Amino acid sequence: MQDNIIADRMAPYLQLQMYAKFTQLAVKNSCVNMGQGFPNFPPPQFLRQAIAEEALTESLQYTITAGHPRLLKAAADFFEKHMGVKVDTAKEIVASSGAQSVLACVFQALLNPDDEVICFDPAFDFYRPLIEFQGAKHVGVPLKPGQLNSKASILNRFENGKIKFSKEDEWHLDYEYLEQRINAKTKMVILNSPQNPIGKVFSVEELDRLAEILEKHPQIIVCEDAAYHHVVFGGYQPFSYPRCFTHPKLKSKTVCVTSAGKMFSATGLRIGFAMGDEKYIKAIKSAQTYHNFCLNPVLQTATAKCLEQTIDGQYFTEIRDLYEEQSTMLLKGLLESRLNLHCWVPQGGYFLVTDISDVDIPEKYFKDDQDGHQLTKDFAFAYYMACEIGVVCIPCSPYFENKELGSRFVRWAFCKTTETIQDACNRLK
Amino acid sequence: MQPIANRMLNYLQPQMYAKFTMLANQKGCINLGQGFPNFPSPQMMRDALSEEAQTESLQYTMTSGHPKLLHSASKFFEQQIGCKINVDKEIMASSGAQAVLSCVMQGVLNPGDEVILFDPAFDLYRPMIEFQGARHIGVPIIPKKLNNKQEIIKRYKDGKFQYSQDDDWELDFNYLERVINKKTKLLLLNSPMNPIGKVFSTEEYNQLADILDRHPQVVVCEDAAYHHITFGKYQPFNYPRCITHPRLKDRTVCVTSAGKMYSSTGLRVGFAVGNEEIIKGIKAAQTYHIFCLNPVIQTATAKCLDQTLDGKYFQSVKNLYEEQANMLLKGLVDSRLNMNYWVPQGGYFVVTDISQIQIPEKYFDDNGNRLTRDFAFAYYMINEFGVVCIPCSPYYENKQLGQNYVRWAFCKTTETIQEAINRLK
Repeated sequence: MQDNIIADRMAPYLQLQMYAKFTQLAVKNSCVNMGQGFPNFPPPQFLRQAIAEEALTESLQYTITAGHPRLLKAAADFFEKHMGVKVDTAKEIVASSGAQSVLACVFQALLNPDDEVICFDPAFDFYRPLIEFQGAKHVGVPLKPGQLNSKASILNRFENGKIKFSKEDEWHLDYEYLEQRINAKTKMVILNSPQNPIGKVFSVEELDRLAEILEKHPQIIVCEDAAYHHVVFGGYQPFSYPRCFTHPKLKSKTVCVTSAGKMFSATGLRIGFAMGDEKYIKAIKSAQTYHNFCLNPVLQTATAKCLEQTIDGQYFTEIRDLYEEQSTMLLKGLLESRLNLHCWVPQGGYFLVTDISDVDIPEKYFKDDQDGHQLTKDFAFAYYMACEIGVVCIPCSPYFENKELGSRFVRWAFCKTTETIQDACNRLK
Repeated sequence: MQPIANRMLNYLQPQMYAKFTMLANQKGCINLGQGFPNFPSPQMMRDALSEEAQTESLQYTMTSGHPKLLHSASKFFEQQIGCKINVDKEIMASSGAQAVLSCVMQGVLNPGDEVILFDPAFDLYRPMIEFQGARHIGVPIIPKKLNNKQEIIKRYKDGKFQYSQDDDWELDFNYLERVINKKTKLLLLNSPMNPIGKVFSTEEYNQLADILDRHPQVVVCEDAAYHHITFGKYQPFNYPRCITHPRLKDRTVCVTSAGKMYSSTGLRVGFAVGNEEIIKGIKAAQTYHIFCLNPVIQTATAKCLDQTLDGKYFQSVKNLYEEQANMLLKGLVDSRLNMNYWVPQGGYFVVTDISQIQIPEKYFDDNGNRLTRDFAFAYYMINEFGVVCIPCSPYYENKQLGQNYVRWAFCKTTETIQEAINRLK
């Protein structure tokens, strides 16, 4: 066999993916894993129970490509109630194998080769390959923190062990830069809110501004990645925060992507949804036909059961409170660590990000131990943490088109037990 | 200004199987169309899923597959197929054979690459090839002869049809050589073949290997979704395979379906086994495709593979399917439809030739569009006989050729098949 078996598009992506790699390293070095975004506390018993029950009775044959009718109805009912939208289950919603698979289908359904997609950096590092695989081009428009916060200034803001998001924590979008990068080829804008990794929740004003710009470019579709829509802090309620999908000037051009796995703290569930105008959903369903054909019916009816059982939202208020406590605990620990980090209070999601430009990192960590190539500061920091401090975090340059900018940041996950977070904080003291 | 990507424009209508299943339900037809068993899934699968749901992790697992599943699958295939599998490098699990194939295409095909298909080829292959910007070329497999009712009934003894040379569908190797060129990257081979039930012979693989020796860049994708259902002289899993052929195995990726193996087409667990380099590309595609599979369905599948390692379960499943195949074929032969027939060597389906059937003219019209003969026949069956079958022209590049065939599924209960037969008498 010759050397060039693998398709060219895959060539940059043959190494073990970053999260898997750092999880492996965490295990190998017995680190506390604050890297990959999965909860390490038990998923709800009602989910296990639902799967166990449905496994005994639900059909195990092919079901409808768009999703099991019970699941689509339960999801539509749930989202209608908590997001205040109307969803036609026959036309405006489709289920796929996790938000990941939904995104893959969305891009396949809507992107032609040479189309351009705007990502707001730091943008989840899976978007770019998915865009490339459709022959399209990704354009990074960076968000930037309004200021670097000293540890003292944030610590001062704590009251009774709690801290509120304030202007000092904001990351801003440069709208002029955005307008410059948009052109006739721009087909899509991806907006992740709450945003992985910085925890930003876009405001109504920001969405208004985006809407004005997009009015001038009617071919642009908004892909709203709302995987963390149940984890919003401060004044926001779960599911109830400014969304493109409910914004009067954006909703008709938005495909909203959500994750039942994340909602139920079971990232391995692999059930996600796309909702939107019929014309988009029709094409996404077609992509799904050839992608997965259909999902496992047991997982779908079990998820439906869970959505039905939690429709009053009480479960999500409790979960959100838990995550908010954990985020505060981790933030405090990072502020009290011996590392000279700059922090911001997140507004939601699973993660917070710190600026590491003032941290001294031993030179050896700047060289990749496999092939000796030069690493960016964020990767050097991550290896320094994994090897000497015993805590795994995720380097953020992969989230940025501008690696120089991105190499200043690393991401820490707070979707972890108190024990785990305390252990990490102890090691960082 | 329409927002849908060009590659999807031909595929926006409900997919054929779904459409015919819907029609079957709407009109109270017997559904011999879509290839899913309508008898119960094995209790061991349900029990395994239920147990694992209580204990297995529900968080992200490894992209290439849960270690338990990969180990169990490797062990099972090593035992039943007789190949050696490096569990770290030569096997991957995905969300059904469908998702595996999708990852194979993405992992291996560049725009402009060519893919050889043997028609009739499963109709989900072509779109996936197109989505990667590659080009599909259909090389038809053609029946050696037409067997009418009188001819085929001669081979019916003791409730079984004896397979003979008269049932062979043959590959034109000269044609194949003519269409292979430098751009050919992949050859997709399905054995047992959907829809005709053909099992390729060792001699055919030898000839194929001879040709491919001259084209070292060609990867073979062996779709073995029905590898547990082989009739006559062949045993489950144990028939000529590219993944075990001395001159093909190193260039082959073999795709299998745990869902089909356990008569649970909704399971959505399938495997790719083969050349390390190919698997590497496929794993990379999987990362962005679905990231990982649900761990519970993986460990449940692992349990089932472990429990059926001795193969006995598959003997009885194969015997069941063989009985149903013979029952259906007899019914089609005894029917009032003047078709031509072949005995299948495996799989879920029989194909019949319908070129002699008088189909009322109205079934050829679909809102002003003229339908091919096979579609007209399928609608005729639905509306006047109450039985659903699947038209085969979508399986062919050459629709003129393909329109003479329709596919009937025998992965159905005796009751279902008998009812269909009654309606066709």
